[in-house]
Amino acid sequence: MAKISSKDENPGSTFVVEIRPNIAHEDFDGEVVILNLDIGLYHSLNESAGFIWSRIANHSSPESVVKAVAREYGVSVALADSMVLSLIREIEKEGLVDVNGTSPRWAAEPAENMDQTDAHAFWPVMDTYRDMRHALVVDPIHEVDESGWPALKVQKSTNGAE
Amino acid sequence: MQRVLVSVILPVFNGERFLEEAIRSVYAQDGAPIELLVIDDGSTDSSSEIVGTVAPDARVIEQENTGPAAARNRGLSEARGEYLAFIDADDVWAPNKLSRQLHDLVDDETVDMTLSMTRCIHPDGTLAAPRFFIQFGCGLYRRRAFERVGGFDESLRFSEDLDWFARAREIGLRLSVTEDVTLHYRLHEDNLTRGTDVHDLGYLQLIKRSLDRRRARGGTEPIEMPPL
Repeated sequence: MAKISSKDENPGSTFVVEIRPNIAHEDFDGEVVILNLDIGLYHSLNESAGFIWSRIANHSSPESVVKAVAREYGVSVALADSMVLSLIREIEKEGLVDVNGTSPRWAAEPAENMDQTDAHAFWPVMDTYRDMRHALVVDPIHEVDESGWPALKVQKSTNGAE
Repeated sequence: MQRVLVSVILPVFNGERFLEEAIRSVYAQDGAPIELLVIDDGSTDSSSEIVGTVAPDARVIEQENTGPAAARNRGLSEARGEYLAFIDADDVWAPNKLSRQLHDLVDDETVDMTLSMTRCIHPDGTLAAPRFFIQFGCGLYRRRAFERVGGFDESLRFSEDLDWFARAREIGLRLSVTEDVTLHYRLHEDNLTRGTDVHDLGYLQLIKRSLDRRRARGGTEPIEMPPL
């Protein structure tokens, strides 16, 4: 079973997860909403996924995230390891994060011998939405300041029409 | 009282620079009886003088500075027309915008609003290629659309128009999008501003609110924003 390893246990198999610069995200009272500014897809995370994401956003190491998950949800470290790896796999696949370093083989299923009921109750879930992608991507022309009114800047010369 | 077919809502805040051109493009529309509603959101420049000179017949409503969403909502509350249109103080309508879009809505009673393509005006005055943007100036709306959806969310600074369209689609309003260009939208910088924290937060708030509304109605089905 692949797992997130510490340097002491398995030197050279740690990895770093970083949120990409084109990703906007916010925690709204426990629901994390993520927007990919480049392609207009948005995502909603359930509670455990948001818990993991928030710690990644705060630059916690994957190992510390696993421990935090185990404590928060009262699950074994092995199950927490699977939960974190599963979400990291999904958010990397959706282009939300960069995973640098040597990544372990991703756990596709909850760890063996884990109680399936427990796993599903806390399993991190990300929902992905494509329905506003056109509007969110091509809605760049709100040149307004914080009042909401257009901010009339000093005009610059351009190279011509688009 | 003369029948008003189209109410044109023009919110302005210190818009003296291009306001005359915007107003003249409204009065250059062919045919339809219109009323022009200018909502002055507390301008301190010569915007009100320009309106008085160029559009003496316009209905001018002055209010304390509250933001464009509040200004548009004030316009909605004062509008008498069967159809509603919006123009910003620095934009320009094509001469036959209203006649073309009225034709589209009259042609199909089931469509609640019709939108068109937009050409951006670069700071040097050149026009960009036509594109479709979610913003109010390119549309013509039946009054019933606002009666069903409500007005603009005044708590959203950057995305109140996108939010309105999301709410409209969530309750199933129908819209058409045509390839005509009816709006020239003026850019004030050569690089589009994007990616500021408050700007992105506006989008995230919009998304969160849309998801919550859909859940309250029993699901999070896609709402399919245009282009359709």
